[in-house]
Amino acid sequence: MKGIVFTEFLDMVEEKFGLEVVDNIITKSQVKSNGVYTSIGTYPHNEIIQLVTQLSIEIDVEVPVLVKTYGKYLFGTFNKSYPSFFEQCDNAFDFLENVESYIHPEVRKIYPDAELPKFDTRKITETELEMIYTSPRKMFALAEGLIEKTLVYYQETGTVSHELIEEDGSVVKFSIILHG
Amino acid sequence: MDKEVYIRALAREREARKEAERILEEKALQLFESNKKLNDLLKTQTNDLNKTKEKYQNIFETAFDGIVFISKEGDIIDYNRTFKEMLGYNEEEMKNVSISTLVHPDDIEKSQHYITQLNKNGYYKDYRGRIFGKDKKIIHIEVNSIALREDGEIVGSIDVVRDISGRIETENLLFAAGQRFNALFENSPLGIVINSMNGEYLDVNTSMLNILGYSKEELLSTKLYDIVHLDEWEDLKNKIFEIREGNKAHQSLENRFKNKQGELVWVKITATIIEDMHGGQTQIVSLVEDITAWKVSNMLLEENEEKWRHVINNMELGLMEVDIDGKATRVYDRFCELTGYSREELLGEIPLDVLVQDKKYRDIFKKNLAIRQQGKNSTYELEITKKNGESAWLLISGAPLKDEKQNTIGSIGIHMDISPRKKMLHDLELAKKMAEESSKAKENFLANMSHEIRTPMNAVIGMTRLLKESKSEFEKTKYLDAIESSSQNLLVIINDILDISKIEANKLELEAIPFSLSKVLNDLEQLLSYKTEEKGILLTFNIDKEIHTNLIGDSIRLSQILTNLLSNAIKFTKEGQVKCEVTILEDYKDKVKLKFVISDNGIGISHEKLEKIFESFTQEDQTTSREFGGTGLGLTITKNLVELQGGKISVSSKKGEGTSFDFDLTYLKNFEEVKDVKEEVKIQNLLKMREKKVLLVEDHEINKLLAVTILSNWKMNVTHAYNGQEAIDLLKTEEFDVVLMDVQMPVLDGLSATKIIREMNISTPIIALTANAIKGDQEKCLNAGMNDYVSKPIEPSTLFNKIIFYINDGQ
Repeated sequence: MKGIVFTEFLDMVEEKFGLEVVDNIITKSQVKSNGVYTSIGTYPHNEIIQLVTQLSIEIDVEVPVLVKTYGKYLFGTFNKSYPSFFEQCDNAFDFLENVESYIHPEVRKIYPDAELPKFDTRKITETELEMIYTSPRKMFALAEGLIEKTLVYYQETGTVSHELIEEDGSVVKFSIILHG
Repeated sequence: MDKEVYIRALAREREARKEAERILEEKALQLFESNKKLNDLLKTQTNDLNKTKEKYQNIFETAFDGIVFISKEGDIIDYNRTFKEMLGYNEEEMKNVSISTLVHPDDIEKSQHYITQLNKNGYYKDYRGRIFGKDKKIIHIEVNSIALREDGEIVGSIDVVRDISGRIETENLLFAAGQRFNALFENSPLGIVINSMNGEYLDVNTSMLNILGYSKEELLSTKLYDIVHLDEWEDLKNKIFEIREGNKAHQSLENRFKNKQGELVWVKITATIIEDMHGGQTQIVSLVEDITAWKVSNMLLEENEEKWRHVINNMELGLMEVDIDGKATRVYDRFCELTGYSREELLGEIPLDVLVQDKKYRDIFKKNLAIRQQGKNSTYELEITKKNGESAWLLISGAPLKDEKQNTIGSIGIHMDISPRKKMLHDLELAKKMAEESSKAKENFLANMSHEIRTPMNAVIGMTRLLKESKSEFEKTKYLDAIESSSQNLLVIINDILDISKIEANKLELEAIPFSLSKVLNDLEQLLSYKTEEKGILLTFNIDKEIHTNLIGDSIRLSQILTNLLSNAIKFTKEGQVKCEVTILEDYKDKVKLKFVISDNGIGISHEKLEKIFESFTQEDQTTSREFGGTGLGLTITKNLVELQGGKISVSSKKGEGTSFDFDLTYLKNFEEVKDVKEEVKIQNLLKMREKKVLLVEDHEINKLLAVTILSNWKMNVTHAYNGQEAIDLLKTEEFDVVLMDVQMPVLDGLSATKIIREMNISTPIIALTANAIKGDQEKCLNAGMNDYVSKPIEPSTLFNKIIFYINDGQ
């Protein structure tokens, strides 16, 4: 898992719940790295699970909600760090279709060891897009947060729903329907 | 807030910073490495790019077609060498060239249209137009163009320009050729048909339609099979096949086609294969000429000619036409039959050279050819040599052939084979000559005979008359000697005549009995020695000592041959010598081939007469017989006797130097002892003969006298009877040791008498005395029951041997 996911997560927790909660979840979750993360490093995936689970206990909010929230937060980070990706497109669907075909390949050029989820995107109509998420990390909620934020970014309104294709959440179908 | 929390957070931050710095360090190093690799890659790729660029530049420069880069505004941006050379400008001049100055004014509109296409589709193809080269030279070009883009915008074009001036010229020529062909095709009086190689009709012209009466559509949908005469279909198909297989590029055929009305049209077709530049067959072009009218008149002509040819051939006359030089232009069957040469062998040849070798006849021919060249007829005879080498006589009647202007253009000869007539004439002449010769020879012979017979006969008659009147014993003896000598001569003559008649009647038979060659020769020497001694001639016998002299054969005939030849030799030799030599030619275990040579140094025989010497009734010369006597039969008999015994006789001679006869004879060898009647035996036999009773049956007084004299000499007891009846009567009462019986007698002849005697069971040996030596008579005697026979005139030694044989009880 790329370091940015950890650093941004801990930044979000600090920003929203204070440094004490950050310290708590690191200490209590007993992650192997002791909470030392840098955005350009790579760390075991289970550590983020441990941290999110610990946060869930700490603030009594469900893990999926937390992850989705984190996804929304992460969108802002991405937008700030890599504005060119967003500027290339002028609507949400174009951008979402670009994720698998353009953005991920670009990410792999910089981080050859990055383990990214796979998106099969299919435009059904002008207002309906289907994205199938596939990843052994089963963090589709993170993706859902990112997708929702994308619509907001491009000033489009619509609903994002998901359907588990695999029950464990390793394959999930997102349906994005635009309104108006 | 707990101070500890900040301390831990700070510690984590510090750790994280160090971690980040380490990672960054690592990344910087990685970046350095990959930058280095990238630089190398860039260098390599730049090199490759330069090479590729160079390659394309080369292609660009050396392209067969002109390549030109043109801006949207019509300026020339770049061009290759081919384009420059196509226009004929140099580098400097090219700077002033723009598209607007290049394009021919008449083509501007068209070119604009293509540029519109380029802008719309990004390319255009196969533009054809004219541009100006240096000095306003017009160049025909073909252009393919593709848009030159920058960021997707068309900024100009890349034009590939080909100079097709040469092609245009060719196309113009082709067009003209096509025009010419069309003019010929449509206006030709000959029908023209164009077929594909698989026989489909591609086109036909109007004349062809006129020939067959079909419309173009009808004919093009017709199959060849439908219009050709059924009988000619197979042949035509084969010929088309031949053309198509390339066996014959060109074929001329005559066929019958059916027109639309179903009538037959005679056509002459000349078919030619049309090939492409590479020799591939593409089409068959057939020229079709309607020759019906010509054919019909020709057929009439041929029919007419056929009729006459038939007439001429049946006339058994060989006809031939020759041109003015004497070369055969037309030869009829019968003439071919006459000469044995085929028409092909004679046509174009001068028959004179082929058929006539003899200068005499060649001259006759040439003389007549000259007459013909003057336009005159003539008739003559020639001897020719046929192909098989036989000669033939031709009666030739020649007439000049004239053209419509009455110029002599050759001649026609009628030849009749007169060989049979000629041969008949020749045979007749020959036969006449032979008959004349033969008749003359016989006349001579008869004259000789009468002379020969009459001389001794006269002597006998004259001497006998003198004998009757003579009182003197001395004179009587002289007359008797003369009579004996003349009788001997007569006997020789008569024997000769008998022999020759037997030979001519094929009745001469040969015996095969043991004999001694040396004895035969010894006897001959004795027989002839009195004559040679008389004439003073040396007679020598020379016999090869190696010869096995005990032989089996006909010694009497050998003696006769040798006697004839030696007598002749002696007769015709006045002085000198006569030789008889016997040598071995071939010696085998059981037989031997001997060569006998009888030579003399007498008068010889002339060369001309030598050839005829063995013929009957011929003597070397009429004068010969007058001088030397003889019948002229001796040598004929001799030759026949030699040949009858399987030998050959030949003669060589030189007039005045002598003659040599030689012959060969083959005898079986006899290994048994030959009984040689020695003198002692003879004396013993004479003693045995004494007082033996002999009955002589003979009606002829002289013969009786002769026989009685001979028998009395042997001291035999002779009883005489005049005929068969008397003999029978005597035999009834008396016993005899032997009976000598004449055959022809009055009252009862010898044969009848013998039969009766045998019926009476009287077995006394009966010996016939026959007047002739013909075998048939002798057989009659033996069949009648006689034991043996003796020919008259009686030869005492023969009679002695026969009688002694029966007295000795047949031993």
